[in-house]
Amino acid sequence: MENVSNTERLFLANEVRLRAEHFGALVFDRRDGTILEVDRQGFGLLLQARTAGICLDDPQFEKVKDTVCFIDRLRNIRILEKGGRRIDPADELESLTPRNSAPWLSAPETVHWAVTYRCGMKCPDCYASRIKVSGRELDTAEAKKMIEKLAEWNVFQLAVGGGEPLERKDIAELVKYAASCGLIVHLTTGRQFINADLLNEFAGSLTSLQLGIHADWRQTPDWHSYLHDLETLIARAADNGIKTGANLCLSRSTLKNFGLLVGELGNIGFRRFTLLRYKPPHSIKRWRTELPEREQLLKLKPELEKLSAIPGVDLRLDCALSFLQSDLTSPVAAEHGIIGCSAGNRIAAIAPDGSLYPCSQLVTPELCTGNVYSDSPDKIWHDSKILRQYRDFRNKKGFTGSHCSFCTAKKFCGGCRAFAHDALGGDPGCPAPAKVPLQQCGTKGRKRKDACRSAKHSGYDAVRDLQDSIGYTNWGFPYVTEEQASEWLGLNDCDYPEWIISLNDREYL
Amino acid sequence: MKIISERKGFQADHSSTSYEFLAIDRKLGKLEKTAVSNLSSRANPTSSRVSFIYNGDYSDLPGGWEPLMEKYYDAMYSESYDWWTLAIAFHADKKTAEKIKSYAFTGTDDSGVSVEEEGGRVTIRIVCRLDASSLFARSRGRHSEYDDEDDGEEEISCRDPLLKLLAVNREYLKKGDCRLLYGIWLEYDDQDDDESALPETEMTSLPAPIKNLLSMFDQI
Repeated sequence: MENVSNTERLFLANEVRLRAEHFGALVFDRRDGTILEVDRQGFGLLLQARTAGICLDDPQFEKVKDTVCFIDRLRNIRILEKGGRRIDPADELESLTPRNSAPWLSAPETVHWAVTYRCGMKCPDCYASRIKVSGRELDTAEAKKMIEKLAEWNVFQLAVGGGEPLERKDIAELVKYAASCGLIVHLTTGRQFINADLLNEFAGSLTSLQLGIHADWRQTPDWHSYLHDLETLIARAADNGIKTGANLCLSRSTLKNFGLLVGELGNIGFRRFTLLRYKPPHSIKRWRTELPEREQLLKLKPELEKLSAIPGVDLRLDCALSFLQSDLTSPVAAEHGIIGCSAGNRIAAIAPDGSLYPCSQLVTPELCTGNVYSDSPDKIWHDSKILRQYRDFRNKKGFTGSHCSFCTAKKFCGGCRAFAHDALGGDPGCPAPAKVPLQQCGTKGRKRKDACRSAKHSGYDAVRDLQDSIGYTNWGFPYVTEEQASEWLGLNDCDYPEWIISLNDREYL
Repeated sequence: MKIISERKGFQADHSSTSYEFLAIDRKLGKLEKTAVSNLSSRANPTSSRVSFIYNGDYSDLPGGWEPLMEKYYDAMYSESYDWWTLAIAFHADKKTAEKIKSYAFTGTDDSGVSVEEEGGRVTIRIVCRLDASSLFARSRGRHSEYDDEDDGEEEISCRDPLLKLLAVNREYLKKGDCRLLYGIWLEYDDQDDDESALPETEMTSLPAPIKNLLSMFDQI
């Protein structure tokens, strides 16, 4: 931290962007991706810091303890600096003027853009293969036009994915263009080979490269050569100033060897791990095999605590894994901006044809909210009933009747909508809903009982309960097998979300 | 004016942060313990102690440690990524408060001493590198002879050796003995000019608690 005397002027750091919001503003630090939410007074002060600068000994700050603390904290994290910028107040007014008073963000912070759904890899756990929307892709000129719209909309980050984004011949051109428009660009790929020329083209434009790890290859003889290829790619990316991270999909097989796998990846240079909850893949058969067991997920938390304590390790959790943070208190979660599902709120997803969805998991014709290429993104964002539903999912019927609605962590978790049977309600896959004592349920106690009655919407083991009630042989074997009990209870699909089944008419069962 | 939330971004550096607090002058009552426990579901405050450990950048003490020192506790240390913050708070008369304030300085990097005074309560914050391993090792050797302290009502002479050392040093500071602060300045001052010099303080024949604490400060 630089030493600054009270008489020196502090300015907003050059790489920091402000965006007016209903509560005040979002402050986005392009250097490290930090996002702050500040209140209106704080926003006013930052506007001043952006143009004229601020000085701690300014009489207006005297005896205003909050202001001094506010400035001090922003100075500590280098949002305010001595060598910041002086900006003409007329510049960038677009993002500094609240567009409306709606109680949601003026635009998503991050847009996930599937530039294509093409991919030759056929990974068994890929969710993209179950997506049944138009495969049309915007051409280069159209894609650039859409990127301009996203930048004008004041989106901060563009997460490029697919399918396999490197299937597009113009991917480097698009990444460069997005960066030139002021977006921070990340790209996720399933490939372990990226040729040197392409990496060179990405240099200076691509902030990070997320590598989808094929953990299922760990059991094959090719695993070590795969690790070697990844190690080479990490080094080459670093030579081009691109950070790399590992995307780990937490399937049952991955979790069985989680510690070893992370150790191996750490040994080849990975420091950032993004953990993704196992989402419904194309095949229900595969889902039955690879859906993690409840105990595996429960054991994950202490492993993550150990992992996050290793110096230099940067651990990210997919918002569908918010249940791993369910023991936080509400004030702590709020202070760290943890809100659980952020579909249609902090994030939005764009399909290859430019159509907008609440999140990359929820891409179906029914959930299409409009097309960013052909329509106004701002208008879609504010007018879409679908997006409003997702922002307000905690008050919707499917949620209020579910176990999630009685969880103490519902405000900052709420589960993942992709797991809900109606794509909006509670999350039946949560391994450990934090149950509230019955006496605290008040008038909602009955609802909770009803919710628990439905095995599909609770963490309660209905199969075991049924087996217990029917009884066991003298040798301890249940009279009813697990499969039979599951069938009677209608649990044969292992909670494979009904909205996906109905969408695909079980065509691939 | 406030920061509503802070989310680390794509270069977030995860480390663990621990906080240890000790109340010396006044024990915490039931309501106060409840207020402290509301800060973390894992905190289990006793009438004089509380610990917080946070792993990952998604969790840290809400509002920082300062409000806890203002309201409830008299000594605190926090360690994060090899950087330590030591804090000592007490009520002092104006003369003593002014004297202590004159020992505030900013040294290399974030190191240094800062002093806040509000309503007659002085809070001294020391930011430093510390090697407390020998202190904790010695302490572990002695602990076996004691009973388990998790009865929730341990005495001020707490088992945590660093808190104990801070508590003893606090007594010297309360009396206006600023040799600890001067010793820290000698360790961390990076200014060559005379203007930044602190009041000349006699440092010979230091009492053992001050000497012990000063011996743990690491150069940066």
